[in-house]
Amino acid sequence: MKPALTPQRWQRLQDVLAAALELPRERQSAALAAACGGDTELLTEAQSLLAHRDAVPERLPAIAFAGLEAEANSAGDSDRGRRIGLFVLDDLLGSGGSSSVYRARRVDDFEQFVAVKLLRGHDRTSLRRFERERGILASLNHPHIARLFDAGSTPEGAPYLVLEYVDGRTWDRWLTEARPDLRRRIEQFLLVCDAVEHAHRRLLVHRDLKPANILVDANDVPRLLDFGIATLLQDGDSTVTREGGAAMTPAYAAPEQLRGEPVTTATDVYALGLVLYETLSGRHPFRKPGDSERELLRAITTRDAERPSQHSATVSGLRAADVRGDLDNIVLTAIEREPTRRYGSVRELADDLRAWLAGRPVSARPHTFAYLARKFVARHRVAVVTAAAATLALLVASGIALWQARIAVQERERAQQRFAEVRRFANNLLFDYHEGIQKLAGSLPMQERLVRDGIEYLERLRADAGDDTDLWRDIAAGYIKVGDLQGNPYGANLGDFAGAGKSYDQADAALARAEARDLSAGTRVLRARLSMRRAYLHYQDAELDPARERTHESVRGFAALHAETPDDLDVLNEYADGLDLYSELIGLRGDDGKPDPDGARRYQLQAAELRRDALARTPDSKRLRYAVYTSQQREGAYWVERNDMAKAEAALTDALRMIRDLVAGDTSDTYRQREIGVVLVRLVQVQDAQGKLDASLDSALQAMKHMDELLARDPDNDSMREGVTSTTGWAARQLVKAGRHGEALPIVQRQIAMNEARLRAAPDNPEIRYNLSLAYRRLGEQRVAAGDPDGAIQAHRKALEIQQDLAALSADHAAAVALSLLHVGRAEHAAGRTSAARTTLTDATRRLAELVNAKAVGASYGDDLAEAYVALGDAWAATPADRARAADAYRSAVAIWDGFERDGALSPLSASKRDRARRAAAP
Amino acid sequence: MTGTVDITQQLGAAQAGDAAALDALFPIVYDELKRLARSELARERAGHTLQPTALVHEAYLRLVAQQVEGWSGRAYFFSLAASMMRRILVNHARDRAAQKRGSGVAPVTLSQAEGLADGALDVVELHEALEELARLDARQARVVELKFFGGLEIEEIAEVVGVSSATVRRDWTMARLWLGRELSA
Repeated sequence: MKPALTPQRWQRLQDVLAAALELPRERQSAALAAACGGDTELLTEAQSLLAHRDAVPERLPAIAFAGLEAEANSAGDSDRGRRIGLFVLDDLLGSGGSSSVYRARRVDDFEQFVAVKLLRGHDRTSLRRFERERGILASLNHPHIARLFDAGSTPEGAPYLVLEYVDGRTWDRWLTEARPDLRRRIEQFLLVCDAVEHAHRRLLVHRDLKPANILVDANDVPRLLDFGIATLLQDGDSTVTREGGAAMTPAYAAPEQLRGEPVTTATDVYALGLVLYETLSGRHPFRKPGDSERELLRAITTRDAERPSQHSATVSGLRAADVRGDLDNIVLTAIEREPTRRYGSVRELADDLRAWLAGRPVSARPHTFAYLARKFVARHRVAVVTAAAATLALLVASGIALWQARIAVQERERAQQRFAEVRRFANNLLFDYHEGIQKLAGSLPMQERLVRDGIEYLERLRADAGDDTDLWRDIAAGYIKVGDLQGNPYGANLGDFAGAGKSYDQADAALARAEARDLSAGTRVLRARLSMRRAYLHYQDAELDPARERTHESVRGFAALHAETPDDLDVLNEYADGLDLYSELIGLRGDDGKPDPDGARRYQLQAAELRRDALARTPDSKRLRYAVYTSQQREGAYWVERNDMAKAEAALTDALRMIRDLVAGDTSDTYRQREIGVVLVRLVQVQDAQGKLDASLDSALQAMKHMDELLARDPDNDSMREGVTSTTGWAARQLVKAGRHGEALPIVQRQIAMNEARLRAAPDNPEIRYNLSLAYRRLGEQRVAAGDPDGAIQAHRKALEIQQDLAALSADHAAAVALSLLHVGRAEHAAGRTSAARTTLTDATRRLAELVNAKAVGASYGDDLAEAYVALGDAWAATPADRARAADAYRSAVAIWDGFERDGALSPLSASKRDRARRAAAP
Repeated sequence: MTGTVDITQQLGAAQAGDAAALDALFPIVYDELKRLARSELARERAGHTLQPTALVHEAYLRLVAQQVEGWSGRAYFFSLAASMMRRILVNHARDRAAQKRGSGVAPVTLSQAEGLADGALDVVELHEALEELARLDARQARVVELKFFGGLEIEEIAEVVGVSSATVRRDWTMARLWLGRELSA
């Protein structure tokens, strides 16, 4: 311990030392002893000073000025020294978005410091907020709220507030520097609560409570600052609507603030809870180093906080044992995500803290098992399908695991074990259950819940992932799965493509974390898979080039993986899927911008071969069998495009057999069951084109029956309804063609009724309206076949009416109008209304010729145009005087079919029609 | 804003004991020092750190000398500047310590000499030791401030403080002993 030095004694010491220092070093010690006489204390002190003679350098080392560089680099505070009202601005104390706060002093009283808050770059909103703060502060008079002294505007019109200057530090600095003990922390926090309560009694919500807005002076007395975004509550109502602009501090914003919901006194309770959390644990419950603001906001709105006592031990002056229990419960109650679960008022929070100080029981309850389960079930109270019970049990089970993981942290091993369980549950939820549920009829609401819960789990996992490569990989896989469920166009999805894109982004980020340490096959599979998903979304948006590039990326990745592990069926399946997609994309546009049909065919065959070979090795794999089926279906489509209907029919018949075998006995797999209907409809067209009417009709009737059964099982599924209207249409058409118009009538009527029902659910939907018009066309065809031309005219006119509304949508819609005119004209002719038929058919040929000649519609409409000319010829031929006009019309038809013949596109059916037209045109 | 204040006039008044004038000068000098440091940093410099001496002299040249030749308050200005420099560095060090508490703010090593070799100190400790010294001998503390933070030579300090160079030299020697022991403790 150093003896206290007085100026007098320092003077005496200097005299002794000065004399000694003038001597050479070796004699100084003796001289010192002599000068001190018998004063040993003086001598000791002189010697100790002398021992440090070189400790301090001649000049301050350059490094001492490093701070100057940093200061110089910071923004200059240009308002310093400026006079505002009666005050001169001094140090800049802080600045926020639109205002700066300076320490200032009165021009005429240097002793009195004030804080001047100056509004910079003021717009209308900040001006209003500033004005409001002024009004609010003027109405508040509380020892723990910084007082308003004065207010005004600078000559330039910038408003300012003169506030009580609190010579102190912010709440968090006070905690770390003064290191108050637990009681002191709680006692001083209660003073802040009093201040907030005072504001609440005056119907004010602070809305921006945080450690930086609480200043603690030298006597540990806190004062509340910054009522800048406070909100006035309506009389007697603790709810206010949110004002425009999200002025708040995200880390301390309550979940309801982030959600844009009404701000209430419960919002301040939440913020106080966060401040208390930090006071007891030294950390923010949700802010993790390195997290982006978005991640932080996510955590606030989705994660549950850990108990503050888990971190209390790291705070000097606190013991975890003191915080554990009641204080944990108090804090966690204050920061409940749902406002209604928090303390009803700041007073209740304060009462609990006072009870704790006094050693009385508190009202806050721990998160018990029953409570947690109740909460969980309440959040998921939607009973949907049979699977709901099973899944719900799973959700609750994993909720419990999470809860247990949270409370058992002191037992580290157990916690880790729990964590592994939770992770397994999350994986089950996303993978196994998703696989199961997406096949079930009526499962869309369930799938929506899966997405929501899946994201919540992934958020939790991510917050704890740290450097765990395996976990990051799991998280990436999970996000891909969630993205698929949201909007992978190649699977059952919710149609939320934007959401899918976001989830894939998250997967990308998580995968990058894994890739930093690990490039194993498991990681590379995910990367290749993710590229494919990105390609899907690009394709969905008709962005062909990025879609093709992404697919190429993915295919390269899978090719390498497949070469390493040829027996890995997952890799093989995805590899083949990638090849198919690549084939499809380059078929549309290759790298040089032109379609590449040869390349497309090559990749398509490669995919098919991969699948077939694999299936030969593992004949039981359902997934492979489905994959081989898709290859076969593509094969059929390829031959249809090449107009080789016999080969197409063979391929499609094969495909039909495969898909039937696959879903046999699994009626729950609606997604694949629907495929049967799809293949059958393709077969109808292929068989019809070959003139195989019976086979075609049979396929159509099978398709209709199949879809009817599916719809009966899943009556709310619109894609099933759409499938039924399409298959009934084909069945009716082929029945009429086969002369079985009596059977066709109820089918057509049902088709009309179903489309009308769909239209009621989606009024004005152009696609449904168009389908309805086609149903009327079927009815018209049926009426003609039944020998009821008047009924036919009526039906075709109904179709025409709808189509005329839609004609502007596209050339095909316009062509539909012309076709309906053709039908109407034919029916009029059959009904003996010859002159009406001539007018109508002239109109039909004119419209169709315009569209065909302009190449606005496909060449196949040429057939329809030729038929229209034939019909017109028939109408003229009814009166012998108009034979010349009739012959003109027939010749126009023959010319069109001749053109088809030159192009090698004349069908046998059209050829026979041409023969008839030729004969009719002959004189 | 600085243009509205007549610096030499204010300096004169402050020197004569006008506290308001001193008050008005503080921000001007403070800002000028920081501004100079900034422009110094902006220059291409290989391996040289900011020299407080250079900054203080340049601040004087810019703020005062251009306006009045041979102003008698030159010494007074340096004294003011040195105290501003001290304030800038101390404030900065405190802010940083507060921001980065616990994350190891690099302390300033004053000397390689015995006594301080293993116990490095920071500007804030120096500042606090100087305040303590001022209680024992205000002039000695001022001499250290002018030497360390103003970068002034003994003769310049003598002019500012208004004593002989010999006295300044003795003050410096004694203050150095006292600080050496104080900062090694």
